[in-house]
Amino acid sequence: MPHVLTTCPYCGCGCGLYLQVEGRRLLGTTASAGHPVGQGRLCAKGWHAHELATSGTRLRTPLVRRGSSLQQASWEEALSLVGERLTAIKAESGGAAIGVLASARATNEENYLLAKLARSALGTNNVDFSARLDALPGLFDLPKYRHLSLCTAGLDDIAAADLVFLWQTDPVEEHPAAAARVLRAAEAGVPVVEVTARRGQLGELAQISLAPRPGSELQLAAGLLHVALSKTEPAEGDSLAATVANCTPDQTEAATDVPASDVIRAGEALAAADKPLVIYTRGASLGPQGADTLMALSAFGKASEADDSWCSLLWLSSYCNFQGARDMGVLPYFLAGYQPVSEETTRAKFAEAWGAALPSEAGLPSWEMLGRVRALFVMGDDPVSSLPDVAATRQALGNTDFLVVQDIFLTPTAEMAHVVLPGASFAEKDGTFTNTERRVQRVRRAADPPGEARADWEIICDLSGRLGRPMDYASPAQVMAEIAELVPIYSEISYQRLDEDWGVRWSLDGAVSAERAGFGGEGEEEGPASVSQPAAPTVDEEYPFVLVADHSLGAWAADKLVVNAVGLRRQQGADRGEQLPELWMSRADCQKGELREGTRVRVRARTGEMDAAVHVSDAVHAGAVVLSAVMREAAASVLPPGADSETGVPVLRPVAVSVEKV
Amino acid sequence: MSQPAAYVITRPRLAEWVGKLIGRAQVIAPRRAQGGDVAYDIVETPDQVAWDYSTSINPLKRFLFPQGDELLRWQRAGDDGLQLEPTYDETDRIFLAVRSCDLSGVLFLDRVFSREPEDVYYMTRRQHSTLISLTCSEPVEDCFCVCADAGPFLETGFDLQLTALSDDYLVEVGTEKGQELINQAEGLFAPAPDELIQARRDLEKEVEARFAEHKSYFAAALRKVTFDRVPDELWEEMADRCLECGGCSFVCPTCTCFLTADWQSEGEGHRDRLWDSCLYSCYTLEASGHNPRAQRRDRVKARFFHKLSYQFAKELETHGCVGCGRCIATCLGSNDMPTVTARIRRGAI
Ligand code: SF4
Ligand code: SF4
Ligand code: SF4
Repeated sequence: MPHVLTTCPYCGCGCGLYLQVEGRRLLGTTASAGHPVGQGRLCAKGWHAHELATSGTRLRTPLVRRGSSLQQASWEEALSLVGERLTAIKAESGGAAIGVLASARATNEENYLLAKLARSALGTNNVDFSARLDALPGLFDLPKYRHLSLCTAGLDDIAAADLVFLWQTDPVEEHPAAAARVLRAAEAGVPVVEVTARRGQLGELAQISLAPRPGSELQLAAGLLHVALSKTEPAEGDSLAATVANCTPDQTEAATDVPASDVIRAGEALAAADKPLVIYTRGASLGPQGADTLMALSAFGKASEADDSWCSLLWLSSYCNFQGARDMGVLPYFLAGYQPVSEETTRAKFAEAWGAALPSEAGLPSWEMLGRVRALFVMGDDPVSSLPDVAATRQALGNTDFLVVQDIFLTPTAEMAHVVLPGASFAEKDGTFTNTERRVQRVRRAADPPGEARADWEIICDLSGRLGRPMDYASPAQVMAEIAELVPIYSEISYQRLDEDWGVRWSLDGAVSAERAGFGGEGEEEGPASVSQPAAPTVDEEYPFVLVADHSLGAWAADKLVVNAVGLRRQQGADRGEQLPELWMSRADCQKGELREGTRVRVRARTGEMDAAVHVSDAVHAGAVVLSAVMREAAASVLPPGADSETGVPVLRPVAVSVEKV
Repeated sequence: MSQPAAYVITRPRLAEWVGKLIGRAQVIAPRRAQGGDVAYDIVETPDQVAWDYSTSINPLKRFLFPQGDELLRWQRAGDDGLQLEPTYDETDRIFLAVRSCDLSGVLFLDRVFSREPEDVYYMTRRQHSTLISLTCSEPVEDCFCVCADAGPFLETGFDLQLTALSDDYLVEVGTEKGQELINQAEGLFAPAPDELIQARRDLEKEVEARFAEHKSYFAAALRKVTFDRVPDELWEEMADRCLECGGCSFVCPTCTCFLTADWQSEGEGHRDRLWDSCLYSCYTLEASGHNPRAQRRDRVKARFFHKLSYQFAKELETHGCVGCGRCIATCLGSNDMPTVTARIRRGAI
């Protein structure tokens, strides 16, 4: 069929699109009118999706490092080298000396197969993907919190909601399919509450705009809960009300700079709402006190008039198959379907199916794996671009004895590899992606991979054979059949069913109980245990501004899937070449400091300094200065990567800075 | 031709005819894709034509002015020479059962691309294409061709125009090229009896009355846009409702913005042209970094000035909207044509 239905390879919304094909050539992209996510619409990334496949910068042959350079090699040479080196390292140092990073952008089948290869052929549970940080994995690893990093609501709940919070997220930048729904809700009169240091485009339509001092979002959430809960009769032994008892509007104003009257307005709107919906993304989870902030947000439903059937949390992931990578067991502690590696019966079930004994020790998460493993196999992941501490990541990769990267472009991680294997783009292979609302959808082959590139599932099967564990699949459909056998939450998925409909959402209840899936159920915590002091840095005369790393700003413009797409890179403003990092600053602060658009400034913090170019913005609130998180390498001395004290997960905390003309 | 000729063909014979056309050229017709959406697409067998469709998700320009199109290839020849070779597409194409609005869209593109200097790539494809339209007897929720003077029945512009009338199709001939197709199909067509021609006239009247509810208020909007009487705040509010997806440009049968990009690898390369959108912030970005339309408001205004002002309507004979309604379904924000004309008429969001 010349119009091939497939799933958008960019954000986690998962809009449906058609690739227009003539012969085996990709001519363009069209939105699907009937698709339940896109509903006839796409954002610019979707409209340009074919461009990443037809890009002239695709990897076309395997590359092997000879001396300091990567040089073309045959598949035979590359794969036998990988097979031999991994076998040798396993023999010398054990499976735990090998790490495997799979991908929030590879298909479910590929993620499943690579996790299988890691556990059955390499004997390691060091299986992860670096983008997983986005969802606050420290929380995710504890079943009782897991609902916080999973989309329990769906995109269409935006249309059903009667109050929408945009919590530290800009859907226009990050999740346009969600933005389209919020825009329609706002036009229909649904109040939108925006919580951010930088107003997004939808902020113009928001009824209430709250600008907490960066780092005080938890205190704002607690303040809203305080107001909302004071409107209802406290239930007996209600620990939540006790937790936020001191978070009065005045206290909240003191902690966050948000006027008490606004706290009351938003809190009362929450109390009165029947269907409040909090939309949040990595902006909230990667913030300081992210864990507690998410806990506080999870209590919003309870503080409103919503009944138990309404889910008030809408987590949106930034990658097309973020959800699927986790579902497929690309996690150090779980086999596919969140079945713990520590459980003997689970291991036995997989061991029998896979015909190999499996390691029982939990593996290392990505940010701990690097630097500790001797060999690293990376498929479609790019830790240099995903992990917060760029310098440390590069150093760790540089010290790795053997680094293999399988990808479609020469990413910063691939540039450091010993062997590079060219994979297929979403347009050149069959498979499935699972969107942010757990909708499993087909990805369909519309063209051939360029040059000698091969579908990733074929590469994994080939390699597994060389590691002594032959994998014999005729197609990804067969892989999915095996997944359905072993993974309860995917037990109802088959290509046939997916072809009959617009994909299938795996359910949190019904046939597969929430508990079996490891979500929610008993012990689900409501709200944070306590509300600590704000993590907002103290500003003073010397350092009068709070600098915050914004995860939605410019993230796409720096993404390899955008940079390598010829029309899209221009649309996203990625064409402007090397420039100073842009520092977004409020008009008022710029006037005070006599700074104009483009003025070169020095940003000083207690830890170091950097230069930036001013962008005068009406979106940034006075007192805050905003830098895109993709600039974190250039900004490392000012915004030092640290670890969340609660979870150990690396984060970028806001810091107090001064800004002066150079 | 003095008197436009009309023929009749029965449904079974129609399929036979389509089979013959498929043998002769690339036939592009409405076709149901996976999932059930209908798209203009290449058909390989007559039963793939979705005769009962309402609208297609894509306009015909995808085949005449593709989203990504190679313009020329070059190769290094010898030490200092370059060998350039333009890539013209001379595939014979028959567009079958296309909606009147979409055919009107092609006529609009003809006027744009035939202006001097003529666009050889487009015109080559056009010279090799035949247009067979299908009149509409059921208004579709989103479209408003009547207001755009682009349907539901056409007077001219088609090579052949088909109208479904109970058991048969009435076939009106618009051009020599159309007549040729009839002549080549020995025995499949019969001259249309007068009753059938009358039935078609009656149907047109009846349908136009039903279509009249589907309105876009062009007249008032045209005046206000032409004389710049739309307040800036209104453009500003519309700009807040544009999420810069480009979809309105891509689905619109009359939009023609493009940019070019070059590819090269050792000793060879090619130049492509790619669709662009006037709503993209980089659309007017100049190499100096200066952007005369840096504000989204200015871009929204420019788009609708282009679509709705007398200046452009005069140059291109009509305003730049054929009423297909696609932008209603595809706008990520809420700046589709009927909504925008209504806002402009009312003067407020
Ligand atoms: S909203 Fe997300 S899934 Fe939809 S087209 Fe845009 S990037 Fe693709
Ligand atoms: S402006 Fe909209 S309705 Fe008019 S022709 Fe273009 S897409 Fe169709
Ligand atoms: S379709 Fe709507 S949102 Fe997209 S560019 Fe056009 S006006 Fe803007």
